[in-house]
Amino acid sequence: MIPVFRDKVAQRAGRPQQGPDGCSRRKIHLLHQCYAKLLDGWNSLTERVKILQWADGVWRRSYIFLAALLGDQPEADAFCCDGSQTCKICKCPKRSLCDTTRRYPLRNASQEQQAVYQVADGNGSIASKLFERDRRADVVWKKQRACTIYRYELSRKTVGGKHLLQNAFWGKRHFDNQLQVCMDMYLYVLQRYWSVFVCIDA
Amino acid sequence: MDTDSRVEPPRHSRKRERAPPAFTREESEAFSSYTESRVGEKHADRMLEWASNPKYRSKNLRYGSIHTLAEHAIDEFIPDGVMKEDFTEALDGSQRLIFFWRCLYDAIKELLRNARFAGKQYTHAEIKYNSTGARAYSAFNTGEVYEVGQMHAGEGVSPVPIFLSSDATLVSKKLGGHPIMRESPIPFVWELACIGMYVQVLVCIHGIGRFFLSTKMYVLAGISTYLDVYARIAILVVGIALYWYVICTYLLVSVCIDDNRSFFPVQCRWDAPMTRHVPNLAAGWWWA
Repeated sequence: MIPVFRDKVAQRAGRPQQGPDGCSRRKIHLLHQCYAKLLDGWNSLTERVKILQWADGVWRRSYIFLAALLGDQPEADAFCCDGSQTCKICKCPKRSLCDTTRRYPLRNASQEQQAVYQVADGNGSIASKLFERDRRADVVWKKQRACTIYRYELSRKTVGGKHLLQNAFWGKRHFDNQLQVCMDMYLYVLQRYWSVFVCIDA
Repeated sequence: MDTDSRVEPPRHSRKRERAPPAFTREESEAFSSYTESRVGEKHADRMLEWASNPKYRSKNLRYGSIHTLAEHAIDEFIPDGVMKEDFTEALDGSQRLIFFWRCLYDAIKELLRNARFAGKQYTHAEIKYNSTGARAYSAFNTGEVYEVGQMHAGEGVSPVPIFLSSDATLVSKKLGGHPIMRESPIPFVWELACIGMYVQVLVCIHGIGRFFLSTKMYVLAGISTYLDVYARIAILVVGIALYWYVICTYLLVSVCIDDNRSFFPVQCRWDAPMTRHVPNLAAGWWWA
C-alpha cells in the first residue's frame, strides 16, 4: 500500500472516513494514480518483441507481459477497486462463495469499466458526471448536494461494492480476466492437436 | 576626526562562537553508517562494539548501544515541539501530488541483465507430464501462465513475466497470485474459426459423445463461456446454411419458374443486374 497516506493525519485535516472523499477511497485513488504513472506507455512498450540482454550475457528476443499480482485480500481489493470479500475472478456473490458446485460468469475488465462509468455518471440522471473528477485528473472537484456519502455508497452497491474511480489497469495490455486465458488455452490446445494431426498425416 | 571609531573585521574572519560538538567524529560516522544502511539495531550494536576496539580510538565512542546514540541525536538535532506540530492543511480541492517514479522499462532491463540471476532464469516454457500423463507443475515455467506467455511470444522468444506486488513481505510461495492477463486482440471471425476447428478436431479424435460429455470446457471456461461459445457456433453454422438455402432457392425459382412474381416482389431474370435481385433476396430472407 502507499505509505504516504495516513488515516489519522488525513482525518485530522478534515477528510471523512467514508464516502467519495473518504480515506479508503482516497488511498485507492492514490494507488491507482501511482500505477497509472508506472504503466504509462505500457501498451507501446509491450507491443513488440524486444531484444534484451539477460543475466548470462546473452541477448535474447524477449516478450514482456504482466503475469500476476502478488498480494493478499486487502491488496487485491485495492488493485481491483473492489469491495472486501469478493471473488476477483468471477461474478460469484458473497453469499455463494462457499458453494463450490456452482459456476458463475467470469469477470471482464471492459464490462467492469462500463458498469462503473455508467453508475459514476448517474445513469444519465441529474447527478450525471458527479464523479467525473475520479476519471480525469484535470477536473476540479466541486461538492454538490446530490453527491453525498449516502448516494456514493448507494451507487457503489449497484456495482458490487466497487469504488467509482478509474482503474489504472483498464485498457492496459495483458490485463483482463480468466476468460481471455481460456481463449488462449483453446488456441494453444488447438495448435497442439493440429501439430499431432500434421505428424500423423505425414 | 574621530579616531575612536572601530571597524569590525569582515564577517568570514570572525570567530564564531560555537558550542562544542555534541558527538565525536567516530560517533557521527557510526550513526551515519547506521542511518544510511538497512541494518537493524542488533547489527548496529555490533558495529559500535567493533568501533570501540581499544586498538582504535575507543575513548571517542561513548555509546555502547545504537538506540541510546540515536535518541541523543534526535534530542540534539530535532527542534523542540516538531513532533507535535501539525503540518496538515485544509482540503480545498487544489492539492496536487508529485510522484517520483522510475521508468519501468529501464527497471526491467536492469533486473533482467543483473549478473546475480545468471543461471537462475527461465528462458522458455516447458510442458511436463507425470507418469500417468497428467500435467505436472514443478516450476514456474511449467505453469499455464508462463505457457500462455510463451504462446504469445512465439517460438524462439523468451517470455519476461512481470509480477506486481503491493507488499514485499507477501512475495512468498505460500500466497496466491491474482493473474492479470491480456485482452484478446484476436478478431471475432478468427476466434470463431479457431473454436470451430478446435471442436472439429476434438470430435474427430474423441468422438461426438465423448466430446460433449467431457468436462474439459466446463473446467476451463465456466458454464457461461461454454454456452456463449456454442451459441456462436450454432449461429454461425445455422446462418451459413440458411444463407445458401435462400440463395439456392431463389436461383432455382428464378430459373425454373418463368413468372416468379407470385414468389418475389420484383420479376427479373437470373442474369439481371445485382441491384434488381436485392428486394427478392430480402423477401427470401424474411420468408426463411
